[in-house]
Amino acid sequence: MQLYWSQVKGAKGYQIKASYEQSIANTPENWDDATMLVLDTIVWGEE
Amino acid sequence: MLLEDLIFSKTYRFAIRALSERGEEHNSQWFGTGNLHQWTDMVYYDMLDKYKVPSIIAQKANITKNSFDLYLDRSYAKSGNYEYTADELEEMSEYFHVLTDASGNKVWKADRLVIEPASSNPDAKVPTQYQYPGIKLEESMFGSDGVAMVSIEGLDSNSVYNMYTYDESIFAEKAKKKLSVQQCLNYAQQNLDVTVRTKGDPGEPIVIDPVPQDTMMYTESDALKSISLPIPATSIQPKLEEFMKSNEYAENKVFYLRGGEAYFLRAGLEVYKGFKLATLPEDLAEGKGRAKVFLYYPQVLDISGGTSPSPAFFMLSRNPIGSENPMITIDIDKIVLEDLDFTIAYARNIGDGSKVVTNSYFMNMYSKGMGSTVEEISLKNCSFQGIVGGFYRVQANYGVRIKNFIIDNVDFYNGGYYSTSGRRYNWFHANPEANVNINIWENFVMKNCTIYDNPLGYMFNHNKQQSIEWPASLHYNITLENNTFINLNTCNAGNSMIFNTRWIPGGSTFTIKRNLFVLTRNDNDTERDMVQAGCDIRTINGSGTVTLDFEDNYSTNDNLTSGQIWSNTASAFDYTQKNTFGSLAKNYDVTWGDAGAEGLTVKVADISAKDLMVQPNPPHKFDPANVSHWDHQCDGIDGTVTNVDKEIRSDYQPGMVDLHFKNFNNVLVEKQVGAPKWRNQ
Repeated sequence: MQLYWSQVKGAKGYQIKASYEQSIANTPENWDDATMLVLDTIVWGEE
Repeated sequence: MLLEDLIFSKTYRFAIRALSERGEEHNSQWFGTGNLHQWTDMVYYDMLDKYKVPSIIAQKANITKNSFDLYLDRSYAKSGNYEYTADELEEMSEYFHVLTDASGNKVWKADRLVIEPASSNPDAKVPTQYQYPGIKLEESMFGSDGVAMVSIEGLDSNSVYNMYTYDESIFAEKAKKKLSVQQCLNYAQQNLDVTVRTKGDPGEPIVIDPVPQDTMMYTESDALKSISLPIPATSIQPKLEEFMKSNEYAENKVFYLRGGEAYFLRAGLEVYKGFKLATLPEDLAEGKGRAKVFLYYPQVLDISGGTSPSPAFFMLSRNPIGSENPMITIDIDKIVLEDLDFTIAYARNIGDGSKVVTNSYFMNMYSKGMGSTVEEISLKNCSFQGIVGGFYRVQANYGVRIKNFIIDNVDFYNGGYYSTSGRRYNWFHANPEANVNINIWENFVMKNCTIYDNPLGYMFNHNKQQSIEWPASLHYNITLENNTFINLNTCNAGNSMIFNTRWIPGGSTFTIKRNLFVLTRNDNDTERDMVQAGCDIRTINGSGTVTLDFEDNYSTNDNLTSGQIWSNTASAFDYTQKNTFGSLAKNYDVTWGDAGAEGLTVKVADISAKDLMVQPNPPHKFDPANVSHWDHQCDGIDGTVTNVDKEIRSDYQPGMVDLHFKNFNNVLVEKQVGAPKWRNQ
């Protein structure tokens, strides 16, 4: 898949984090940020 | 950013934050994870399911505590008894290699067989030779018919194993791109959905003794919270969750609750093993009554958040865990519930306000839940109050097959009324258009049951009304016998339909006998609509055959339309023009029961509900300008108070119903129509 985003004024770059989860379950316990890993860090001018 | 070689069928979630020139503490927050309260701040994408793959593992057999046999069929044209369609062969040929075997037959290239413990029991033993990369499938193992038999031994009992074959050359090709083993298998794997549960000994029943608690703990947004319980009760969730997860317990374990005591579930219990939950028979014999099972759902007990929660007692199957393939079908033996009174405490309907309505179920599924084959769901001698959203709902994309769905002597009341038109989901809601193998009505029997003034939607319903290419072996076999339906859904005629399944699979059978349909209200309750619809059935797919065995269904003689019970006369079972059982013989091959086509007619008994029963009318006067929680509520339906609201709501409004017959000199007694218990003198 292709991800797109746009730059906001003043930011030096972006971090994207991602995970694949078993599902989007309907209980708050399943929403565990710790399972998400930083996928990429983009700093403008440093690609 | 282009992400490649992702895993089929998986859900990927994303979050983003902006980085600041001024240091880390000035970075923005993460956006995209959501927290259930801001649904729009959530980014996830579902990968599509994998294309059709060769089903090399064609059959499982001789399952013992520690072993089973697998029959592998690498034939090009078939897998066991299943012959691939031309479209399937074309699709599979695009992705998988075909060889010519020693007998000169075309076969799929299947090189290795892998056995893995399922994610529900990751520690289950697998002898090394079966673990990835798996055992080599030698040419000499396959006969000239393309079939090989492999015995798998040395496994743990009570454990679930997933298994697949794969094509090594596809794997090797992907490995050149330096993909992970999982990513390579993602392309090379053939079977996607095969699982086996080894046998085990269920052992002695477990009696869960009452240890009532008056508060319960739960987590929300990573915070541990406590909430008061309206009626102290004993939690059965931890014990049943432990049973589901642990391979120490075999399937079909029996759990007994003590008669007359209060127990509770906290949230939808994921059911992926067969079990029985019942009141201890000795307590019933001593007259202690059934155990009560409450659903204490935190967001229903406390509505200060103002959300509209969707609690269910049970969730069928489970979500795949980690890298587990969601297309794996879980085998589940018998799910048996007996002699229990289920209640969703504080269940709210449209009369409490649209923002706090409880979208509650007996059994639901996760939207990404795995498929399952269930030997039996059996509900016997139970009652359900507070089911507002739907009773049973399939919502997965994968096959859900319930071989036997038996509901015997179960009462349903004080539920429904999700909206003023009386419907959110339905009683039995299937989803065959998502997967042609879904069948929850393979042998569906509902008998001796009572539904009283519980506006929930259609009795039998597909998610969408569209033609479905069912396999020729799939049929519906639906039996409704000796049920009493009183004011099934008087909110809206359309939503009160018994059968809303415009397409049905060929070879299906409908057995509808000795059911009693009643519409009744107090003389001053004139704004309450007296409506009841029958069916919308238009097309029989496949063989175009159906068996209709209808006989001795009756209504009382009040609140009729044109002299019969169906307020929408074109939906009557016996309407012959179109879109009903009565019209099917015009275009299809109908096999009739003993009563013939005339059996479709619901006959009218020469007695009114008020003369027949002690007190059948909804006790509260309905005012459409002032919709109330109590519009479809009563104290109980047998002359005793069973409505939990009486104990927990300060605004309780009493009003008793008693469906016992007071007149025994009528055709309904003579022909033994409706639920038997109301006819007992």
